[in-house]
Amino acid sequence: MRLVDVDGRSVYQPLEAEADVVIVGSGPAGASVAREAARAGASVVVLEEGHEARREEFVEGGLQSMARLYRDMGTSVAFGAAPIPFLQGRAVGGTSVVNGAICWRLPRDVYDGWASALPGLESELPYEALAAAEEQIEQRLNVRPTDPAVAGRKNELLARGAEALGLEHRPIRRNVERCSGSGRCLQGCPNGAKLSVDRTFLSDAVEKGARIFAGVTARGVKVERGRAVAVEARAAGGGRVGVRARRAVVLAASAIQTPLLLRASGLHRGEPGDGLMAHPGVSVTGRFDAPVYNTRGATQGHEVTGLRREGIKIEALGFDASILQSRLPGAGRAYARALEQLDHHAVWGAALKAEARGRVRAVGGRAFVRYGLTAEDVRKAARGVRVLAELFFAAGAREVYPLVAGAPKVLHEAGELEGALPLDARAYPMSMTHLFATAPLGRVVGLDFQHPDARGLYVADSSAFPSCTGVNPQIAIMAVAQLCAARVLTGKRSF
Amino acid sequence: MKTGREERAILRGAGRAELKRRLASGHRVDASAIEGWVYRGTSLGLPRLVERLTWKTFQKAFWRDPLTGRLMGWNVRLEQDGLDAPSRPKRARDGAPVTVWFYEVLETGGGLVIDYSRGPNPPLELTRLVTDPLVSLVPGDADLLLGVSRVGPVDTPTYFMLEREHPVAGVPRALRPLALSAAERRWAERLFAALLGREAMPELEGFWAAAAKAPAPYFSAGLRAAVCALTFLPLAEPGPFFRLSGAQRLDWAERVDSDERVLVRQLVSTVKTVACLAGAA
Repeated sequence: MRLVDVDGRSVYQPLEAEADVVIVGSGPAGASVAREAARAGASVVVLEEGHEARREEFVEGGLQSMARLYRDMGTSVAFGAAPIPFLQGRAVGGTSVVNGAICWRLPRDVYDGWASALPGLESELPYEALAAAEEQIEQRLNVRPTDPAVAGRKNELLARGAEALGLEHRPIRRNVERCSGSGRCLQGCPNGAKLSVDRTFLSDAVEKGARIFAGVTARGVKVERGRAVAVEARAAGGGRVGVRARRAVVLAASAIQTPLLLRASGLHRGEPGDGLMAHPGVSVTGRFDAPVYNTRGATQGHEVTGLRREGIKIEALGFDASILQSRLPGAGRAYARALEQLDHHAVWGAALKAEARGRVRAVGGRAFVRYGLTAEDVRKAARGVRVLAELFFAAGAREVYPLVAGAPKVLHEAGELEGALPLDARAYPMSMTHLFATAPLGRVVGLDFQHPDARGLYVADSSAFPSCTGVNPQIAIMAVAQLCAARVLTGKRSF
Repeated sequence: MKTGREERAILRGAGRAELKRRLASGHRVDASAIEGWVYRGTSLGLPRLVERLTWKTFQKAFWRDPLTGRLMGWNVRLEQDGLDAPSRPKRARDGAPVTVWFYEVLETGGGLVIDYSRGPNPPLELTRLVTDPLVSLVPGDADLLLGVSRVGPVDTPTYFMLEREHPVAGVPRALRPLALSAAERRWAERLFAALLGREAMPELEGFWAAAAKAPAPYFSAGLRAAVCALTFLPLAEPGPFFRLSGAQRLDWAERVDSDERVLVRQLVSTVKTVACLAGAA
């Protein structure tokens, strides 16, 4: 089915359009709202800065994939004591096109934390309503535990290590169908096995008449007499795009772009962009006697859940070969020797439920992100590295490389890390996914997701979350967006 | 309403008085409607003799600097193949189009103005004294623009029209001061090879092309700083990287990778990651 109605690359002249609901962003949140709105009979236009990601165009190489499917080619960086790269997809379907397909429902304890901080949340956004929405979403996305037949060695070894250490673990629940374990989730699934939202929710929406404008970058929301009436945008081809909204404008452009759009629209109440939260991650490499073939098998098929309440979630990582190569130890001839055994290496990571709060602002028309870990976050990073090393040795690794400045380069047993992990954020090479809380409920928007200074303007993505979740947020984002959609359509709760 | 072709024909044949009248009655141009585009320029209203000595056709490019948000631009010299011939840029020795007379486009109360004093032109370049107000001939349509060159408050006889041609494909290095120069790229490739334990890297044109186009603006700046620091600072024995032979570089890479200083570790780790991406590209 043809997904994109307007390809902005060929829009040179001004283009005007109109719809009941105009949605900015086609990732999990935007797709959820689009599907709900289109199914309810509303006319829908979705504006997406990226282009349609066709699976026949997906390539294995990390660089080419990042250039095509990631914002800034995957080189976006949050600046703080240590610069931390963060990854965001940029394509029709958003980050769901390039994520690891990991599905978690919003943990009850996280929700309870939100409810205790936000009086009224439990009646406006009950946990049961969220859980019901998550149930429906998971059915559509075919969320299932990773099939052992396609898990591959890296995932099996993580399970073995966790079992040996007595840590709670499980196959990752993923949104895939007929996955063959090609290990290419992060470059876009070449087999179409990952049920990203372009293949599901957006397709459903388009079937019901929604229109997707790809290659169109929103510049701001037009607000007249306290009401959001249009989105002003620019096509990749240079033409100006204006889409009038008869009923609502929904921002679902990510926790980086959504607050910038609010600011660009003159909506500064509640300081959008402040309070950014995220899941920074550390990773450790291990070398086994037998080949692991880290690039084969389910990209991310197994996780250790036993440390979640400590704010640490451990996952097997399936990078492309170039990223895996960068995780090998040494340089010069020593590196070349390590490279000869590339297939014997596995990389596992620990995602941290960080308490740090950052800030997003526009500088020179681009996002500038400040984010610095707290001492507690650094302690979690150190604990994550330590546990990862223990897991590798428990799984039978011959050597482990923590890649932490100041720590031993090569470990032959986990005990060598005792007292050797510095409590200095700069020592830990990290990257960040899952960004939240830059336009949260109760501060920037009301508990009905609506902006107090612009009726009909809603924030539906993880910007609206009061905090990070400590787990992969795709399903929770979609569920929250689905409940937001009910507000958009009826002005009322849907439960 | 006249078609673009008719408008062009009228402008080409118009005298200075008519051009002045059209400029005065022109419409404001939306800056965002021209950014990212190359326009074909045609000089208007010049005496034939002057035309023969100067450029009848040229290109003007408009590009918003992602680092500063400023709308910048440059002129491209064209082979003078005739008014209706396709644009064919003159080429420098390295094959790049010859670009001259850089400028910033300012949004003033009177509309858009090209200001050559705000571009990276040589300090004594006379063009620095020139500004070009720009108008469109049809409200809301930026496909055909009219301008005049002005020295201070005085209009020169140099009018020009600009016709939208194609999106900007590349940005001259003069406007990307943070990007790696050709020499820095060669040093970067030597560092990549040393860190990865190779004698040399394979052809990396594809990587450099991608790196110049897609990443965040601070990517080039960061990589440049890392490459320069690792190449020229005396970080490890037997001396600064740039002075070493091929075999010595491999030894150096092992030593610098063992450096305990956090900043050095970060530099090495960053360049090594980029090297792996580049090598696999």
